[in-house]
Amino acid sequence: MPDSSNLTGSRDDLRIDRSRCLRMRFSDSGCRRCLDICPNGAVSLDDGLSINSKQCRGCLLCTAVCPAGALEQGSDFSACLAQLSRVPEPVLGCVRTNECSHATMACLGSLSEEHLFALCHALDGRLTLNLSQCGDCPNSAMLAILAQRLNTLSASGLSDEGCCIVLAESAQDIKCRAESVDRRSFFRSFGKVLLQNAAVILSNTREQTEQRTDYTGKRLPMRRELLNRTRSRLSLELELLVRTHFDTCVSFDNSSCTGCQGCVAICPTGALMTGVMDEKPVFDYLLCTGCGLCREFCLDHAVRVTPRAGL
Amino acid sequence: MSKQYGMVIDLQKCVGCGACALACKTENNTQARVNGQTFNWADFIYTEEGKFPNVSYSTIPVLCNHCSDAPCVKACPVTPKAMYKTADGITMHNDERCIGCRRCQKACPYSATDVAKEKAEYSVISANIGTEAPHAASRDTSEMIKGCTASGAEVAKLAGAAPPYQNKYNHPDYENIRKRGVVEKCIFCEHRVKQGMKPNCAEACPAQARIFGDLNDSASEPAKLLKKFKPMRLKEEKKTNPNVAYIRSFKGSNKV
Ligand code: SF4
Ligand code: SF4
Ligand code: SF4
Ligand code: SF4
Ligand code: SF4
Repeated sequence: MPDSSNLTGSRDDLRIDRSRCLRMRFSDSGCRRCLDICPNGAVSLDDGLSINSKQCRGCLLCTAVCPAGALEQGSDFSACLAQLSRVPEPVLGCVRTNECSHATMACLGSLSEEHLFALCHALDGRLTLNLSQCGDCPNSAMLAILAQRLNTLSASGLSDEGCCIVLAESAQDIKCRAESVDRRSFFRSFGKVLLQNAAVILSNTREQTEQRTDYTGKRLPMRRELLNRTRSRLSLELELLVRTHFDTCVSFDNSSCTGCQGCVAICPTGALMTGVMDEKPVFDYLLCTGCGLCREFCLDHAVRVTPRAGL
Repeated sequence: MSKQYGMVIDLQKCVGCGACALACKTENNTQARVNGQTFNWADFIYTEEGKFPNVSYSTIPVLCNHCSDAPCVKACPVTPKAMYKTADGITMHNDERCIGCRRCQKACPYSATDVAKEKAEYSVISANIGTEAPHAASRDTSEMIKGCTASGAEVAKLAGAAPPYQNKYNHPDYENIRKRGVVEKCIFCEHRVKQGMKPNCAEACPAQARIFGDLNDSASEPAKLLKKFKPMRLKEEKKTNPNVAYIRSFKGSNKV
């Protein structure tokens, strides 16, 4: 086994589904979220989406910004959640920190706001993110981004009522006790079973890292699915905050929409549906990631994409 | 020079029998008309002109023109395009990449998004916009009499044969039956052409009015005919550069 301190992730930790990419679905789309965040210059969008496997280091930062699920992490996040909820003071780390984390991911760069939000409300007490090996990791660019994501969450009040997430950059701050299997903690975590069961749906880890779905098929990105599972068991106050922070409202200009249903076809997630043929489409905010592709695509400029109001 | 497949239709040979259209329907398993979509990859323009007793009636067979400057290809938003030109000059449709936005149908001057509403005579491109998956007969697995007989699809599966009314062929770009949400159109029977056969409409025409071949090969049958007769093409003013041409129209009619 290689020395874990030299490990980093690779392109194999990334699952790519080109048929979801906004650029592939609509060649005039201006989306470049993955390109902008990638610290290694591994993303190319010139001829549709492609990831250079020599340059990609598996920091998975792109998976946390792609609004369409074209880039997602290959590993099983719900298994992580399940492992963490069995421990009273869980520690989550990456592959470099195997020995002193209760659960690991390829790189913590894949923790999007949705993931942090889910962790926050699925666990009790205190969750430590083991960043002790990040300083000299080639993927250290994720440190600042992760901290910023966490700040955004707490600034919007979204981490209220949840567990406390601590970023631990030095080894002394990490107390990783062996996994405790005593009855009390087992029953404490029992209340979370619902969420874990639900999360199984998200856990279909696949061997290949290249996935091909039909362009006509709709698929909700894992991040959005995770958010929807998490929000279903929150207080009304939090739900209102979730709406303002994560939800989008798509509406149509009645006078210019021709009801061609083109945006229904282009939407990667299935948030737009045909109600009545030749009339404006029907919108489901739970399925919308706010990617804006429908607005970019409409020839008649009839689509408005706006944040959803809290109330 | 690369190939440019095309077709010449000899209007004085065409008897308007409809064999081409039927042959196309059986070859490509196209559906019946529904939702303002014809699903007739091969169709006709019928014109009645004049006043009795000086009347004329003419038939012009139509199909995808496999235009050299195809607006449908230009309009397709997907990367790589779901509607694209093959190296042989066929306007090809890939039903895996197609998202069903119907921009091609809007852009094609020979297509209508709803033939009934637009009072169009035909539409080269049809869209599978229904809420159910098309080709119910080919997909059906239910029993015809409960607990007794099986569906055609079921029998065919056990016998290893094609269910009724389904011609099974394989092509990397398109399936022999369609799925919900994609468009469809004439693909010049590329699955046949690749095996050295003619498109099924040309094969079936009893008058041999449809002459298929490589227009860039001056020795080919259609190229020779194009030299010999002055051809006419549909909506030439749209500058699509059609590769389906008509020759020897009867005098008087044929304003197309
Ligand atoms: S962020 Fe996602 S949708 Fe946007 S260009 Fe990258 S892969 Fe495509
Ligand atoms: S919003 Fe635009 S793309 Fe969508 S149905 Fe209306 S006209 Fe078509
Ligand atoms: S409705 Fe529009 S903004 Fe929302 S996911 Fe679909 S295409 Fe993106
Ligand atoms: S006839 Fe229509 S569908 Fe066929 S190539 Fe021309 S524009 Fe495209
Ligand atoms: S319906 Fe399909 S082939 Fe036509 S423009 Fe849209 S994606 Fe392209």
